[in-house]
Amino acid sequence: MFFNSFIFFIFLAIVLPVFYLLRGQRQKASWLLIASYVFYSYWDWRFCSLLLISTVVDFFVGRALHAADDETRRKRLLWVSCAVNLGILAVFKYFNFFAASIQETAASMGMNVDFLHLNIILPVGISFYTFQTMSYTIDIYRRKLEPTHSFIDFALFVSFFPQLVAGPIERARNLLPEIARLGKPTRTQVSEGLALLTVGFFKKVLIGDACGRIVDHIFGQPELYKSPELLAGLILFSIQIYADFSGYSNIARGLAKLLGIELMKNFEQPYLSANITEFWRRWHISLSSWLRDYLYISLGGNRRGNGRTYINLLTTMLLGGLWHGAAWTFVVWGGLHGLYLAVHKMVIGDRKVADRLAYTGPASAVKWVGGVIGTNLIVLLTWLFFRAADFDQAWYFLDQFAHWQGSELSGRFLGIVLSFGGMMVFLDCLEYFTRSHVWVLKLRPAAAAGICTAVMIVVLLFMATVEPMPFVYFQF
Amino acid sequence: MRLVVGIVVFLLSGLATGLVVDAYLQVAEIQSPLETYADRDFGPLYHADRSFSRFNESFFLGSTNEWRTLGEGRPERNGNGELRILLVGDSFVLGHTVLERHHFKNVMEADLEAALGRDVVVLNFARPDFNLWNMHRYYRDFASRWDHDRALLFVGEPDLVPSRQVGTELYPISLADGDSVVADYSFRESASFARAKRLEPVLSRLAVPRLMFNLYKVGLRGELPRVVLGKLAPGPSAPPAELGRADGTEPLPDNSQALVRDLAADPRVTLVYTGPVAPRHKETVSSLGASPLDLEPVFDRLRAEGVDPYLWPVTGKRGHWNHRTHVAVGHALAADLTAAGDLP
Repeated sequence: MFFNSFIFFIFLAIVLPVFYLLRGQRQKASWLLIASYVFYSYWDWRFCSLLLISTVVDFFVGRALHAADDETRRKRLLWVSCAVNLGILAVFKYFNFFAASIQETAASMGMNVDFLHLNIILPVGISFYTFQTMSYTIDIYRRKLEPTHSFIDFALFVSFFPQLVAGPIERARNLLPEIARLGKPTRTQVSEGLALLTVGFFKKVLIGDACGRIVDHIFGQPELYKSPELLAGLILFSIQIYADFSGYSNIARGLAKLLGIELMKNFEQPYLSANITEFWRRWHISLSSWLRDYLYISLGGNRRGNGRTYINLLTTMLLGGLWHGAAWTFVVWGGLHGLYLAVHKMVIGDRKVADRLAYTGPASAVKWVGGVIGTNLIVLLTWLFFRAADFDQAWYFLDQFAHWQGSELSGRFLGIVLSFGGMMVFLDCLEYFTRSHVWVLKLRPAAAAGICTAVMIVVLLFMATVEPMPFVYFQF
Repeated sequence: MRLVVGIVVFLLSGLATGLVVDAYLQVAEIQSPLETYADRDFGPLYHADRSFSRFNESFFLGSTNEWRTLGEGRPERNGNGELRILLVGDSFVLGHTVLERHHFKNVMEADLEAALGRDVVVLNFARPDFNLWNMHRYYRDFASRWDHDRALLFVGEPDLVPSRQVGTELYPISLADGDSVVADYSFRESASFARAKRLEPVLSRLAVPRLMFNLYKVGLRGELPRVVLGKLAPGPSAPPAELGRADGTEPLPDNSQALVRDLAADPRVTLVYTGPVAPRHKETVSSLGASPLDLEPVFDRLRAEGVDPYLWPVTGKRGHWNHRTHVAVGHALAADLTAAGDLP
C-alpha cells in the first residue's frame, strides 16, 4: 500500500479513529500491530511470514542474550540473529545477484558454472526491517539495551506501518519506549503531524513523482535524448530521489506523531551540505548512523590509525551501497562515496566538520556556497551509477556528456530543472534557516491551515489523475 | 471577530498558496493549462505560441506556433517553393506521445528530401478524436488554407464508421447534401461546446482547474473506483465498447461514402489507412475512386521483428504508436509517396 494512494487514506480513516477510541497501551499496540500487518499484506500477504520469522527469532534471542552470562553463548545467540536476518536478505535480495556474478566471472574464464536461479520477488522493505530488528539484538548484546518482555510491543517495533517499508530505520532504544507508553497524541504532535504530512505529500507527489515521470523516460530510453536532456534527467533524478525519500520520511514521521510516537529525523537538507562528510550526516540519517554504529565502529572506526580509518570508511560505504540494491552499480555508488569520505578525512585530518553554515562575513558565505556546489556536483555524478540500469548505460550518459550535442529543447529542460530544483531549495532553505521541519506552524494557525489545505487539495487532485509511483526506496 | 479574521486569513492564505502552486505546476511542466480553445468555426484549435507538456503512454514536450499548429509551423502562403504535405488525422498522427523531433513527419521530410532533392515541409494538422467527417471539414475549412502539394488524411475503421465514435461533438462535420458536401456547425449548439466556452477562460490559464477537469474525465471514464480502491476495486463489468468493428458487417455509411468520393476527386488528397479496415469497406473506398496507402503492412513488419507497434516499453502501456512505429511509418509513407511518382 503506497502512502500516495487513496486506499491508504481509507486505511488511515479506519486505523486512526479506532486507535483514538481504544483505551490502554496494550489495546492500542495490538490494534496498530494488526493494522501494520494488514498494511504489509495489501502488497503481498505471503511475505508477512518473513516479518514474523524475524520478529519471533529476535524477540527470543534478545531475551536469551539478556539472560546469558557466558560470552561464547552470547556470541552464538547473536550469530543466530544475524544469520536468520542476513540469511533472509541473502536469499531474497542477493542470491540471484551473487549467482549471476559468479556465473559471469566463471564464463569470462572459460568455465561453465550452472547456478540455481531463484524465481522470487524482493519483499518490500526487507532491508529496512531486517536492519531495524538486528539493531535490537546487537544493542542487547552490547548491553546497551534491556529486552522488552512484551511480544506485541516488539512485533509492533518491527512492523510499525509508518516506517515499515522505507524507514527511518529506528533503534529499539528509541522506538520501544515510545510504544511502551502509547497513548493519546498531544495537540502539538497532531499539528506537527499534519504539517509533516502536508510537506511530505507535497515533496513526494508534486516534486518526486512529477520528476520521476520524466526521469523514467530518459533513463528508460536514453538513446532518444540528447546531451542536455540526459543531464537534465540526471539532475531531475537527484531531485526525485531526495524529494521522494525525504517526503516519505516526513509522511512516516507525521503519521507516527498522529499516533503519539516520535520517529527520528531521516533527512536534514542534505543538498545544503558544504562537504561530503556533512552530506552523510544529513542524508538518510537513520541508515548512515546505523552503518556507523554497527559496522564502521565494529570494524574499528577511526581508532586504529589513518590507513585503517580510510579502509573502514570505504568498506562501510561499499556495503552501504550493496544494501541499497543487488547490483554492481550500487557497489560503485557506495564505493565512490567511501572514496570521497576517505579523501575528505585525509584532507581535514582531526579538524571538526561544521554542522552548518557559521556566518562570519561575506567570505564565509561564499566559501559555504562553493562547498555546497562542489558537494552537489560530486554527489550528482555518483547518482548516475545509482540510477543507471547497468554500467553500459552509465558509460553511455558519460559519453554523451563528453561528446556534447545540443538540443532544441535545452531551454525547456533547463526551465523544468530550475523549477523543480528551485522548489526543493526553497523548501530546504525554509527548514535550514528556521531549523524546523514544521516551519509552517510558525505562521498564524489559520494561515498554516489555509496553506496545508490548499497544498493537500492539489496533491489529491494530482494523485487522482496520475498513476501512483512507488517510493524509490521501496525496492530496497 | 477573531473567527471572521481567522476565516479570511485561512481563505487568503489558501488562495495565495493555490496560485503559487499553480504557477509551479506550469513552469515545471507538471501540468499545462488547456492548450486549445473552442473555436466557433473549427472546433478546438491550439492557442498560438503555447508550450505544453503531456504525460500519457510517454512524455511529450511541444509548442504551438503563431499559425496555431503544432511544431515549427509555416505561413499559409508557400513563399519558399518547398514541397508541402499536410497531415490530417487523429491522435495517432497528432503525436502527443513523442517529442517533436521523434514524430514520423521528420523521417518523412528527410527521406523525401533525399529522394526528391528539394525542400520538403510536412505540416501536422491532426486533432484528437477526429473521424472522417470531422477531418473532411477541418481540411476544407482550415488546413487547406495552407498552400500544399499533398494532403494525407489518416483514417481507420472507426473513422470511416464514425457513428461509433465518441468525443467528437466539439467539431464541425461535413455532410453529404445530394451531390455536394456541406458543413454542419451544429456543434456550436451542443452542451459540450457551451461547457467548453464557459470553462475556457480558467482552463486555458490555470493548471489546478485543468487537474480538476482531468479528474472529471477520470470519472467519465468510470475509473474512479480503481483510483480510490486500487486493487480492491471491482474489475470492469463489461469490456469497453468496441469502436468500429473491422468485420465490415455494416456497409460504409452513405455520408462516409460521399466524403470519400469528394476527397478522391481532389488530386492533392491521399487517404492513409492507420489500422485494419474491413475488406468490404476497402472495396467500397476503392470503388469510389480513392487509392489509399495502407500502414497495416508496416505494423505487420514491426510485429514480425518482435515490436508491438502500440507498446510503450518504459510505461508498459499500450496506446498510440511508439517511437519505433513513428520511424517505420515515416519511412513507409515517404517510400510510398516517392514510388507513386506523382509528387511535384
